[in-house]
Amino acid sequence: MDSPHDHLRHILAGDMLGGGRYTWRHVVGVLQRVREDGSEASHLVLREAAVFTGRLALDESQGLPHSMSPEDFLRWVAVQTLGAWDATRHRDVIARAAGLMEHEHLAVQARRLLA
Amino acid sequence: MTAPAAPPVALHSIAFAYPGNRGTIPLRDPVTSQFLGDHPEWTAGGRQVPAAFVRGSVTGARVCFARIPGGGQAPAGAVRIGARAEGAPGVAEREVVLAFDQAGISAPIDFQLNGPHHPSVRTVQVEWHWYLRDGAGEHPIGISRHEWLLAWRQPIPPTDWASLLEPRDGPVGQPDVPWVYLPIMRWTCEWGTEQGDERQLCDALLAGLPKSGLVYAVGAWNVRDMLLKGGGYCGAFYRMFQALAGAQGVHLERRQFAVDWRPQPGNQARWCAIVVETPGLNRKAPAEDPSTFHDVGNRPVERSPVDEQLQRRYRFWGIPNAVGDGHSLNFLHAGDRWYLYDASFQHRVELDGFELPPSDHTKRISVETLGNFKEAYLDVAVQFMLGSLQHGGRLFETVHPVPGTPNFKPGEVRNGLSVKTALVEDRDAAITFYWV
Repeated sequence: MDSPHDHLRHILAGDMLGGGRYTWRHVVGVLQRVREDGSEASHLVLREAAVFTGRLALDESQGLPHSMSPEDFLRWVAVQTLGAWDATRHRDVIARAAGLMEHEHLAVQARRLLA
Repeated sequence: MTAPAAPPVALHSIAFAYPGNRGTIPLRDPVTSQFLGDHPEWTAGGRQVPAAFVRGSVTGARVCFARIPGGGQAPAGAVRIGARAEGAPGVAEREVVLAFDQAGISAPIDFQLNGPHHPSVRTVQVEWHWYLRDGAGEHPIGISRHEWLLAWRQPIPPTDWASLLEPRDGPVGQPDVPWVYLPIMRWTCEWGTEQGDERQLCDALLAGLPKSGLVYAVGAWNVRDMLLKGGGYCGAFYRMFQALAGAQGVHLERRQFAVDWRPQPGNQARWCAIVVETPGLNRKAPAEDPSTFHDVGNRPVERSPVDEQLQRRYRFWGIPNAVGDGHSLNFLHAGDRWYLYDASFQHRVELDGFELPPSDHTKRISVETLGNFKEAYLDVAVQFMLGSLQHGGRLFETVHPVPGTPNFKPGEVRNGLSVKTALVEDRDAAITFYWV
């Protein structure tokens, strides 16, 4: 059985889930489990999520985030989490993620984590 | 006796949005991202695109003329050229010396309009009747037709509303000049925005917004994407509304109030999501599949029965102990008062005792410190607060699906308890948000 970390990597890779696509609910759920886990594996996969530059291929029937794009949401949650866990260790990806954000407030807030 | 021969001169092109033409507003095509004024707005070859100006301004036009092949001798010395119009300014007559290149096109000649543009916001269709006067008299040399969009004031720069992925710079040679997307200028000049003050203008924009055809819950989060896809989520709508007001020179603030998912003892959480049951702009139903909700809608809340509902509703999800999704709003400060505009769901509220929180993802703010924000807006626009809560001796827990977990159904979310927002007491930090 795939772990939440595996699922997050599948989501980043644009893989299908069985016969369909992942939904936004899956993304939120998987992110939660990865954050709850807090292991080294979580650090590593969230580092990948923080600097994700692609487009998430999702089944939109379960909705999408409202205030920001799914990609910004993913990066933003990863950045907050890594910043809270170990901002010094993850300084490099937080800085890169700040440069990838579409939403200027998120870019500003990400840079504040580096201050 | 024969009439004097008309000089062999015709119109070639007319430009408005060229550098230095004060009062002109560059317009951008959202599809190509090109400025309409990158090429003359009117050409004899058939190009005819709108130009925008600040109402009441006196602007210029940059005109090229063409020598008509085989039409005889072109004017050798100075002639006078102008254009007449009805109901709109024409072109002030001026003396020019026409010199043509090998292709028979003159160098650009700058003219001034012979009066100010109309003093109110509107769309104007104008027809210029051009003439040339020389020693032999006056000769018609052509007719040009133009669509002018007259704005209230100089626009607000796009840095106000554009996301970091959208173009921001102005046209070549005018990088700092504020510009406007063509559909936005058209809409805002047509939606009854010609009267009143800033608040009335924003009210008119909100009332006119359904006529744009833009739809809520389309996958776009910035203004250009929204124009290309025909709609967006609230993260795009608040930029769009700011761009609409900005096109007429009115500055709006924007903020998002993000869900503050605070885990509490016993697997409880307050709150996991805000829940909106209204469909959003130009929609008949929320764009989400139905989900089972456990509503609490009566006082006293502790003893209220749980009403199970299978419904389409939007859930704006938080993230435990982090800043997640939220809703996006605009704010106008006018006359020492804040006015809230929710373009996505068409709410407009006068706020009392409210100060706009600074954008800060580290600080949760209780709605009880925000004047009448909860009563006047939140209770109306956000029908339910969704939490993981104990009720009647049972835990109603919100659980997101993770593929592979036991009892997982594809796409299922187990909703916790949805408490009618108006029933949540406005005290003891019962509802907090991050304002970003």
